[in-house]
Amino acid sequence: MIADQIVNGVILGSMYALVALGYTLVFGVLDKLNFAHSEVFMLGGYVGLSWFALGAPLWASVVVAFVICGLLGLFVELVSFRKFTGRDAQITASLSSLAVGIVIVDLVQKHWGSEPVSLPLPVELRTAGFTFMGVTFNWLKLGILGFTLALMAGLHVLVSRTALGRNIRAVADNPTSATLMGVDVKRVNQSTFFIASALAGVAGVLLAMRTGFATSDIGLSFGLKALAIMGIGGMGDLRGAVVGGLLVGLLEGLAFQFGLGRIADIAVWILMIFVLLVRPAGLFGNATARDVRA
Amino acid sequence: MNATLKIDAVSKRFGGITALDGVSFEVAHGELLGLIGPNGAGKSVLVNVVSGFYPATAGAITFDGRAMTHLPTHQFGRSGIARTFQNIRLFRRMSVLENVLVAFPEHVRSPFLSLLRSRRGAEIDRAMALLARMRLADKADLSAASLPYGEARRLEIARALATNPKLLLLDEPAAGMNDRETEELREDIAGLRADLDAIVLIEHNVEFLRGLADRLVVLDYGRKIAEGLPDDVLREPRVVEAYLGADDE
Amino acid sequence: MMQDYLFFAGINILLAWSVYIILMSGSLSFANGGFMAVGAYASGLMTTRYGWDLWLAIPASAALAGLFGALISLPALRTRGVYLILVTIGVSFCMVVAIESTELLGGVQGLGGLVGTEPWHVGALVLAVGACLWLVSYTPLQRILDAVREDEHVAGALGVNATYVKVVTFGVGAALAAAAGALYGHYLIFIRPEHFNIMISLFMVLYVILGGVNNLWGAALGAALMTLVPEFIRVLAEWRPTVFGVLIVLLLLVRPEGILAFRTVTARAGKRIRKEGAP
Ligand SMILES: Nc1ncnc2c1ncn2[C@@H]1O[C@H](COP(=O)(O)OP(=O)(O)OP(=O)(O)O)[C@@H](O)[C@H]1O
Ligand SMILES: [Mg+2]
Repeated sequence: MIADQIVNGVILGSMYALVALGYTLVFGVLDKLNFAHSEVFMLGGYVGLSWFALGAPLWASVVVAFVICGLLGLFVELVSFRKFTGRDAQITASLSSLAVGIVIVDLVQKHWGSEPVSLPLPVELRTAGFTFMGVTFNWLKLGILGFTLALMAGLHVLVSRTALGRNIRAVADNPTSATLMGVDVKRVNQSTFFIASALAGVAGVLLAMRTGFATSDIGLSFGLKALAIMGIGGMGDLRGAVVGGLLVGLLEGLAFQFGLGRIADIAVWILMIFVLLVRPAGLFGNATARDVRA
Repeated sequence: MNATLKIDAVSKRFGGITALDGVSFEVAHGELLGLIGPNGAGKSVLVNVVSGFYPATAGAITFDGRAMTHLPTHQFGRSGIARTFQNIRLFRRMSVLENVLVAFPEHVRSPFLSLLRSRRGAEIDRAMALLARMRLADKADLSAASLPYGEARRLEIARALATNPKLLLLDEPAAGMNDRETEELREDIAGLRADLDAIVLIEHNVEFLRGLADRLVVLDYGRKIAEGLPDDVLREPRVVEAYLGADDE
Repeated sequence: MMQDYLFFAGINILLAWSVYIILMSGSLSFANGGFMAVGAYASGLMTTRYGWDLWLAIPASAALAGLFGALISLPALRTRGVYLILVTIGVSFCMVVAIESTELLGGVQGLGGLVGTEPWHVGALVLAVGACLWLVSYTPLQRILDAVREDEHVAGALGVNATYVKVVTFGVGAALAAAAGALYGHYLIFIRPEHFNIMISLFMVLYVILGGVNNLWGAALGAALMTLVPEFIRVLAEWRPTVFGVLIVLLLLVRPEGILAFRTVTARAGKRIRKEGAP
């Protein structure tokens, strides 16, 4: 039983991580919170589900969610972030993206209704699995986990090995000197938003596959938890998002196992508040607050 | 020597960068000390450390006999250390007058009690006197953001004076001013000496300091490389070399 | 019905001001729904269970929430603003779950029997708080808050204890949210945890952003507009979140500081300029 919950926790955690990576990527590059992110993630589930319901294969639904949510990310960048540069505008941009998020939720509820919509996966697909050392593994869950890990590995390669990744790191490090070095900051911002949002969209579909339905309130619950995970891992730190996501997933799995269902829901927030008290820059962050002063 | 400010083996590191490396010197009562050095020498960092903006990584700062090193920023301000900024940092959303009013020590110390004991007319008069001193009285009701460079720098000085300081740290106050403004500023600064225990003045223009500063301290790569009377210091080979090196850039 | 609208408009104005007060020193709070819950539940308990008078229960619960708010802000303020946003969101979530799992507070079922608020009480509080904020806007305190908000480090160099200022404003804002929550609870008769969920907190912030972040009128205008207008225009009520969201996005693009963006100048030299004016 515990082993089952650990497996579930890891899978859940990997999805948290995927969403948290999007938050942290945007925060790292622009130094701003993108509150629309969690709703883009929510929308991803509906988009994938709709295509699947129309008869598209599963992989195609994932691709469509990837593209549509990525494009939506570009839109968010355009209306909520493009104009608000500089530190003063940190709050303005976040609130603008928050408003975009509210619009997304409302429109989703108008279109799909406020009740959860189920994703009609074939029964074989949902139940097929095997038992190994007493633990039941489900192919679907394993597939989700494997795919998530592959995406994270891909993101890692992108950020650490490619020219785009180099530019992203340069802008994250210091936008001014990146501009001086000839980096097209606008292009980097757009790419960042596209990648972050597309990954969130995929995460949305994967979560819908995992739970069997899409619902409009996961943006506020699941999505914002990913925000807390970013705080735990260290804002702007990719490793932190992954480790934080897995940690929280495990914690929730275990809390669930011990019958602490409701507490599991806020465990992440309590953990975040605690981590920020002890290590204000998050587990992996190393900025000391006072040096940012002048 | 009767020291107002003692800086004792102060170091400041940012991650891998050592911006200050064991700097020690004293500023005497009544003194105007010039602080010079090439770009990136650590002059501004020193001002930031002495004004409590950055905590020192190592070393000790004593002001008026009080150990300041580990105090929070606002205690530096309250002890009588005031400063200006190389990259002007006025409250741009306020008027010129408000920028001075905001710094009055009685309100700064207990902002919430200020509700009970504000004496508006008298305060505005006091602020106007400070503005007049920096030749800004006719600009009082303008937005601080609208001031040109030179006037903004003088307003920063007026704001610093409003805190009723003993020590004034000026970080390149003449930067961006034309010759006439610079000369006027020199006279303004000379006129402040009587009311302050000491002034530390950062300036690239050595001619500006000659005849104004009592002594000079020279920084290079975060270290103090010379200290003494201006004419002596400016002849020292190490100083000449540091400055020639800087000119190559 | 009209009475109800005005009552909720008044409550929302108070809540918007509770956000605005915290924003005066530069912090953004997404926890005010939580503070509102503290006010409603604490005063609810005090009146229904312990038989306190409502007029004692409201200040008591406001003080409690104020203390709680100050406590929360104290550690979070040491770090950068964004972290405080995260912490306040966390507090909002935790608060709802905490109430849900506390039997004394009625858990998920809710707490009933809260009576005693008349609409004019809210009107009176709106006038009183508005008058205070208006008076403060001409004082040295306002200037110091503006300084902390614009550049807390420079304010610190002048001798302002920015952390203290922020903690106090946070506490005052939390107390006001709690007072509004108490009045709200004692009007609704029955309160449940979801009355105080994160959306409430988000909307309070958005009222202020819409109306204007620089003066007390903006917050009030934003709250009044967003509460009253949809009640009279059917379509708006139905599409409220979308209309509200689109409005904010568009507004921020043209007027990033809200509809009423002006800042009150706390003091003017006026005549003195000519008297003292140097060439
Ligand atoms: N907040 C900071 N973080 C990291 N490094 C810093 C920081 N502030 C200053 N430095 C570094 O410390 C060194 C000294 O900088 P400082 O600004 O004191 O030079 P300066 O002597 O004032 O030069 P200038 O004449 O150009 O003003 C520089 O290498 C600078 O990059
Ligand atoms: Mg400098």
